[in-house]
Amino acid sequence: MMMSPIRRPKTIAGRLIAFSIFYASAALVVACAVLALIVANVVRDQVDQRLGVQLEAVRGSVKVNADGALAVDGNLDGPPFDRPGSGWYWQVTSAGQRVTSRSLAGASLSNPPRPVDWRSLLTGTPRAGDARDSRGQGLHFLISQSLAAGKEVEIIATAPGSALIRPILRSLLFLVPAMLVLGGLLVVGILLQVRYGLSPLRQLAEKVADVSSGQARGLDQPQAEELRPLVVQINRLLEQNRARLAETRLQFANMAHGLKTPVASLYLGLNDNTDPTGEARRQVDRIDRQIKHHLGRARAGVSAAGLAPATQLRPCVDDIVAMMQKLYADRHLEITSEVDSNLRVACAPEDVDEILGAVIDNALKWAKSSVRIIGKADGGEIAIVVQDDGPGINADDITEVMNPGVRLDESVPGDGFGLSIAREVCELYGGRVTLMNLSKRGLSATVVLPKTPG
Amino acid sequence: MRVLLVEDDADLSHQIAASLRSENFVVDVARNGEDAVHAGTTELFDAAVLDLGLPKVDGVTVLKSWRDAARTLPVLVLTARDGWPDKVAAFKAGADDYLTKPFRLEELVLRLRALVRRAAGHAASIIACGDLSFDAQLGTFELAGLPLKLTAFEWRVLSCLMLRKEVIVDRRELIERVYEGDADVDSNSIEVIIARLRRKIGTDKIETERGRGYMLTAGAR
Repeated sequence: MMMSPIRRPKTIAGRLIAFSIFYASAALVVACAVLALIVANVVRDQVDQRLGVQLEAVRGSVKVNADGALAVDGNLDGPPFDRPGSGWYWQVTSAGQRVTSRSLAGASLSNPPRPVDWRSLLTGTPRAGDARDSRGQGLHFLISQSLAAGKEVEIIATAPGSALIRPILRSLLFLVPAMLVLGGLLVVGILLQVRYGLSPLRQLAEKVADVSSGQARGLDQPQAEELRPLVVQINRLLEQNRARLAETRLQFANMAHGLKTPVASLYLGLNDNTDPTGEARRQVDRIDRQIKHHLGRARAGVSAAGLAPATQLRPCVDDIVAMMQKLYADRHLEITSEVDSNLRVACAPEDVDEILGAVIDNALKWAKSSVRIIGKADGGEIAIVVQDDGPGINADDITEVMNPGVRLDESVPGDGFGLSIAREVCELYGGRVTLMNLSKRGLSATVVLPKTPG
Repeated sequence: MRVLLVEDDADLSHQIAASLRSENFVVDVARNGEDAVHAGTTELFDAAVLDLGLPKVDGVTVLKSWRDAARTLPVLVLTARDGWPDKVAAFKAGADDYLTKPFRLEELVLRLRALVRRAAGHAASIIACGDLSFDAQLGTFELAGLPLKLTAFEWRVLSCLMLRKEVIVDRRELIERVYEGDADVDSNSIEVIIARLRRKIGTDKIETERGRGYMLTAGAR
């Protein structure tokens, strides 16, 4: 069975928070342990001091009675050495004789371990150690060998193990909640810190979103020093991209000019005398159509789709309508446009011209007396409907007419590439062009383009 | 009808100029943008044929500088760029019509005539003045329903007067519209042409406004 790996946080904030919380918790646990150790040391020192005092008191009181029996002077069993079984004991032994505290209640501390402590041996201070009494109770003791009343005596003073442990447990009772509160404060601090610390990144992300939705051209210099190189690079890339796009467009324009001017010249040089069969003219026509087709495709390829620019729709439509009114001046067609003034499409202005130019031109070519252009928002999209009152298209041909080079009526001027390029460019932006016959008369072309968010 | 042709390609400009001349147009040729700006802003033309891809100054800039100088002559743009963005840009700069290369000369001629006619304020392509009528689309004159035979110069003068019928056309303006820029014009030649025209269409149709110019009119006032 595979263990599922620990899932790494997907956000920088998540990473920072997870690591900080882990680190702070570990630090708090260590701090808690260190504090407990310090308390243990202090408590042990205090207990040792108490036992040392008792040892001294016992040593000072040791005497040998007239009968040669070992005894102590006065009452050395002040509390807690008076309570039997308390663990607070003392005992003096010398040459098989023994005097014990009252708390031992007649029992004795037999065979206490004698820890080797070189410092104690050299300085003659008492040695400390741990043992158990006859009831199994843990004991902490001090032991010293010394001369008292002219005899070599061994004196032990003990304290119960609980005297060492209880204060630690009691201190932990305060320490742990205090650490938990501290931990909580730290977590809040970490969250605020991450929020504050990452706010320039969040702002940057918003700016980038503005750029990609076309509301901004580039990024402003951020407050955070660390982000500046990044912003400079991003701006440079955006500029480069724009410049390259403009350069490529210009190249295509120059290429079109370079190719078509000699073709135009060739075409004008051909007439019924120089080309009696018309074959040369047909070939020139073919060359021209090929150039048109490939340049059209290349132009579609360098469209700004992907940069998601924002273009005001109304001025674009107005410009195209003004142009068409001149182009079709002699046909006296009525062109009406109803486009909301606040509509913005996520499409480069050149591409809006390319798409709407072709669609509106097509409508005007076929219109009998009027063309109507309606632009309206439709959810996240903008639909531009172009209706003419011309003959419409046969239901069978309605899909065919969008293919490159298809001309349903050769008597109307055109090259058959307009609508297909319009559709291709439109689709680059995730839009579409659809044709539909109107119920009474005419054709309705609908261009759908994504709306600029915001 | 005097036309400024701006085209940098030598072959193409020769071909266009030659065929426009054969259709009675007066053609001045500019081969780059700078010359075009100069000619368009300092001389009188009925229309201009402007190629967009020009050396030095590009066509759209030429067009803009004409419009900035309040030159309202109709401009037909010749372009190799058949994308709509370029056409829209040209129209925003002030173009009136466009033709995409390659094109048919007949179409260029028809469109130029239509532009000149519309610029003179005639919505219909047949312009009539009394029993004289002019098909501005085909460039033919009829007198009392019969075709009128004219020489190139006669045609130029009469079409110029016809487009501005009932209006006095300045003599110098008439000379500018009839002769090419570098032609050596004899000051009497216009009078000679007018005299020949009067013989063909009737003396009372062309009035001489002494010291000013000529006016085509439907009949004696």
